[in-house]
Amino acid sequence: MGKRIRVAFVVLLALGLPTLGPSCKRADSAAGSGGAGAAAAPASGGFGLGEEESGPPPAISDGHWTFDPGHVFVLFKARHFGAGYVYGMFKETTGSVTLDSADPSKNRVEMIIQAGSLETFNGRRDEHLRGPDFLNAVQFPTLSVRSSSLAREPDGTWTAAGELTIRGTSKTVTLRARPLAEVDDPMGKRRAAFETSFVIPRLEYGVSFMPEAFGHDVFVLVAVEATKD
Amino acid sequence: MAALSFYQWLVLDTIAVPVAVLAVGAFLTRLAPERFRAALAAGTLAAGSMAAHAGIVGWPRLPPTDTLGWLIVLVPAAAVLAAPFDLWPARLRGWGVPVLAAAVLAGGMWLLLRPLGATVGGGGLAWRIGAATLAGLLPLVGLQSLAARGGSAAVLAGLAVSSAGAALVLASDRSFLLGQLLGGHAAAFGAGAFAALLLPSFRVGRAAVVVGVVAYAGALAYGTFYAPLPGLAAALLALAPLAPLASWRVRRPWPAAALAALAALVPTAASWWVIREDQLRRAAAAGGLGE
Repeated sequence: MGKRIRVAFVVLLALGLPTLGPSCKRADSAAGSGGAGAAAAPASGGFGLGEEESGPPPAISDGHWTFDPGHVFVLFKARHFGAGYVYGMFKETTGSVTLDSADPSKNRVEMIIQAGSLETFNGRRDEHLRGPDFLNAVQFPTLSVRSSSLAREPDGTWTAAGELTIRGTSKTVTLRARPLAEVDDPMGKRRAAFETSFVIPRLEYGVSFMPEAFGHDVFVLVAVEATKD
Repeated sequence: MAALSFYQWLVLDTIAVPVAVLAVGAFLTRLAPERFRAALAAGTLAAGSMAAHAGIVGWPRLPPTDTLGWLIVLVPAAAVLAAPFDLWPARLRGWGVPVLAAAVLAGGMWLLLRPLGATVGGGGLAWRIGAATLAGLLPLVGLQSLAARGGSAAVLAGLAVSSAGAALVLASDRSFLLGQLLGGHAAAFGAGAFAALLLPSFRVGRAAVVVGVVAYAGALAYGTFYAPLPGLAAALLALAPLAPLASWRVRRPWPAAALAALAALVPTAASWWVIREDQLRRAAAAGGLGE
């Protein structure tokens, strides 16, 4: 082998070796703060879409509450190129809440989001986000929240502890939700509403595409109306 | 060290690392005893592919939960399972060769595609695994024959062009990540082709062909069924590695490699045209191309 080839090998090695294991390095130095190690956590300030609710949250009565599919909004935003945010939503979400004052251990919340229903109002971007680079909706058709407990706090908010599953990866999270109201709707059903917002550190769930370009934190707002069974 | 830009990472992960690994592995074949050289070449190709994968996608948790994570497991597994082809060639002759190759391919495709069963059912899954296995088996048998005739450089040049073409097609439209991954494979195969031309000790045998085809067919199957690619583009890309057989009668390595690369360019260019047409059709339906 000629000397020039040997030199080329050494140069290639010098180029290549410092980059072994780059995913760790990139995770540390990325666009959008990481919150490394943190699971979903309460977000401060929500989405700033309007006035925050004031006063103590109302108490929601015991029973099994089923999400009204037409009045469930799962909105999200994520940083794009370190500049602005891309906003989007999931259009198909089902779920339920069970409340039992007599036996709080029976309190539960479950939410199933269809990954294929993602919508950011741009067809190509939607295909990309649903595809294998991000959610891989074919292999992982749903995102889910399943609580193992749901506590009603003294200030009227709810604290749910459970598992958030995204792209087949489940992590323990604690979510705080705020009940908004419980009313009789015009159809004669008992209807309640609540909201929660939290942050998903996407790299921890294997959604690791382009950590240099897209924010590591996805801010999520979930607004739900549910009817009593 | 200053933080690298996106483009610097892109070049390092997709080109520099797999090429460097290939270069080191190819150099090591000079030191190995004659009977181990072909198996070492297969291991080198697998290492180059794994290095690209680890840099681009990251190491998966084991066992992988994501189909993409299985690819990085599949490639070294193929190197190990196919090593007997080169280590004990006298014991694997005749039908034993395609049968073992088909078993390796089918097992790999099953690992990659089994999550599809939840949406398409058992029958649909079996059909897809069968189609992906057959699409990989045809180039595998053909390239193994070409490699056995001493066409190492032609085999790797054809795989490099096929992978680069598939990378461009996928990155331009369906999955940048997968495109980058196939780009890493293309860099490894391309470096292997040059190594085969420059180093007499580096020659690919049947095991290296299994590694190359599993890496290529696995990434393509993932793109086909999860991205997904249009059927015609996927079929053209699946058959592209067969194109180097055009160099069958050419004995001199450089012309054979050049002819193999050119022949592989034809189906990948055709797949590019199919994708472009599909893009335009979808853009017309959606009202714009921009993201």
